Amino acid sequence: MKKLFVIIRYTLLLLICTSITISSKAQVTLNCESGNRGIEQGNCWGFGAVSYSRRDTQIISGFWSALSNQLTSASPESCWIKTPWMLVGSGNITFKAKFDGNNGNSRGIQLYYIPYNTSNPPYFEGTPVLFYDYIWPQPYPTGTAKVFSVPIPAEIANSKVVYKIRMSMIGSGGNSRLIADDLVFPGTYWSDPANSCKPKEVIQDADKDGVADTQDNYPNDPYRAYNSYFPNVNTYGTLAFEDSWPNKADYDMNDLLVDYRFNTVTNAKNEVVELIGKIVTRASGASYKNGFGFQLDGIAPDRIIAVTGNRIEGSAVVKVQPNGLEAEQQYVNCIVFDDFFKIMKHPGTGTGINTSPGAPFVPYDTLTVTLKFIDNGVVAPGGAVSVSSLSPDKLNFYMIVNLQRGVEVHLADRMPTTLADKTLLGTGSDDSNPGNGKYYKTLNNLPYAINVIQGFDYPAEKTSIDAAYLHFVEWAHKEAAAFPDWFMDKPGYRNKSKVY
Amino acid sequence: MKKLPFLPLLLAFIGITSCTKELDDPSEHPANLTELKVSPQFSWSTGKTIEIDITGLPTPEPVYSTLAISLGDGSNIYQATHNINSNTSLSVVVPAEADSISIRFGSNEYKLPVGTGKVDFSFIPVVQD
Repeated sequence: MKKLFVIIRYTLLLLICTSITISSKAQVTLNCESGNRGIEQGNCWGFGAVSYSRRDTQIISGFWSALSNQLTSASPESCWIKTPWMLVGSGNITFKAKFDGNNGNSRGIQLYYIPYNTSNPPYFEGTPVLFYDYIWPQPYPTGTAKVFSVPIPAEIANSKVVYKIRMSMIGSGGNSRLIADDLVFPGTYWSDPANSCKPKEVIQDADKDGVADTQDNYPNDPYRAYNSYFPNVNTYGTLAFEDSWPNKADYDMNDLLVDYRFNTVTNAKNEVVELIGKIVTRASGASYKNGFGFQLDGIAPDRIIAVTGNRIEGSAVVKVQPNGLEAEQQYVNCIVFDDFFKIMKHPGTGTGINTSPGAPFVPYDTLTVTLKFIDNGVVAPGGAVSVSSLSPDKLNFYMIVNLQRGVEVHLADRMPTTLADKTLLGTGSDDSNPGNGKYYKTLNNLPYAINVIQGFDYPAEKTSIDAAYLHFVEWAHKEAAAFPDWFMDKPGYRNKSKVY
Repeated sequence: MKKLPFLPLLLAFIGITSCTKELDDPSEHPANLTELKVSPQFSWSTGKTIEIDITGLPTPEPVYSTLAISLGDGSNIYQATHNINSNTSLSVVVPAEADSISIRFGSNEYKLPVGTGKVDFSFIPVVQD
């Protein structure tokens, strides 16, 4: 019994796969066995007032046949089946047809070829040319289908230009419908489902990587093809940290402020070539020397060939392995900088940098950090990483507090790295509980860091974020159902005197 | 007549107790972070992860082109070579206020709502029979 099911299953699969076929004899065929006209439409077939049927009385072969509407129009534009664009071959077009009832004044089948017309969007079809016209004699067949065999017109046989062939079903009176099946058109399928079903074109591909120049962000580089940005090619996200963890925070959310934008560069095989992070150092309202880094959760360090652009200023806090990643980590860890105050210099007055309104503004700095996964086509020892396995939520950002390597502050519920001091979890005001996946949150589930992927203006020194942003509390309380745009500069949204 | 002063007192008592209930539980209407209690599930992010399931179109031969997912401003947040024949699952992170994304394959573009955080997309056109 099980074998029977397997045979039936594979027979069905075979039927579906041959529903739309380019055979070795260069034929374009339609047998309707997909059972879903949408599949054929996706493959650029056209149907006008024609559906699929699997009723016993409406089948010619297999499990499905094409079924016209009631043939009450003499117009060839009313009811039809149209092939995709094809390079028409030679020989005969064949198909089978019959009716679901023997009634009606007249019934007929017409075949047309349709030339390509570049100036007639959106379908680019020229004027149809009739080359076969058949009037059914009565009585109309309802049992065994008639087999048609129609020669390809000499003027389009073996042509180097594309045509469609349309089978029109016409009639008047009565309500009988035409059933058609096993349509075979000699020729080669030449439509492109990826290009609005226009005829296939020879793509321009200068670097021969298989990606058309028009879609290739690196048309002259065979090792790179695409840029995928997070959060956006035009904007930066903002990360705001509190450095008092695990103790109580003052929630001015400005002890470390960085903006970020990542570009995942991939090749034509969808392998990550490099991850390029632009990190903008904006502010640190702290006396602590805070560092910043990120982990790629689940990605092993041997997937990286080299890291460039980060700034580890010789502190003994961060141990780096030869490829530039932090050593002794289970996953990829890139320390972008270990000491904020070595990136931006204190202006001489005020607490920290760029948080005290009266103190001089220190221009932002931008670090471009590149993690190289593939170098000139050579993959890292650990193998390639696919773009789908490096989604943005793999980025696990954290701050290192005051050169104490074990003291990491992550976004809410993001796991600490291998080198975090796990004994600090759940101490002070922190209520982390690795057993249930709770990290870096208080008993009331308040965080020690937030991620505003649209970017935002941070609170001034010693100003709690809820005093600066008047809907922040409501946003959190309603789990973002209210004021998802709390960070924007809209009327009534912020106390501007408390925003830096 | 002796009962008349009792009515205002009763109303006042009801009013006071109603107000007292509100004041007893500031977490219902927190005024600041000190009073705020947040759901354990809240992500504290202004972005949202969108899981996208793509159903392929059976084709007689592979049809490769670029699959691009973009935001309203047209910027690409995901690009990859894709065979229209393949089923694919992937995730992207978009701003919480985004109500739609665009999926582009070759020259075909589809705008899809992202309200639920899950997008099911099929390259097979829906037809009515």
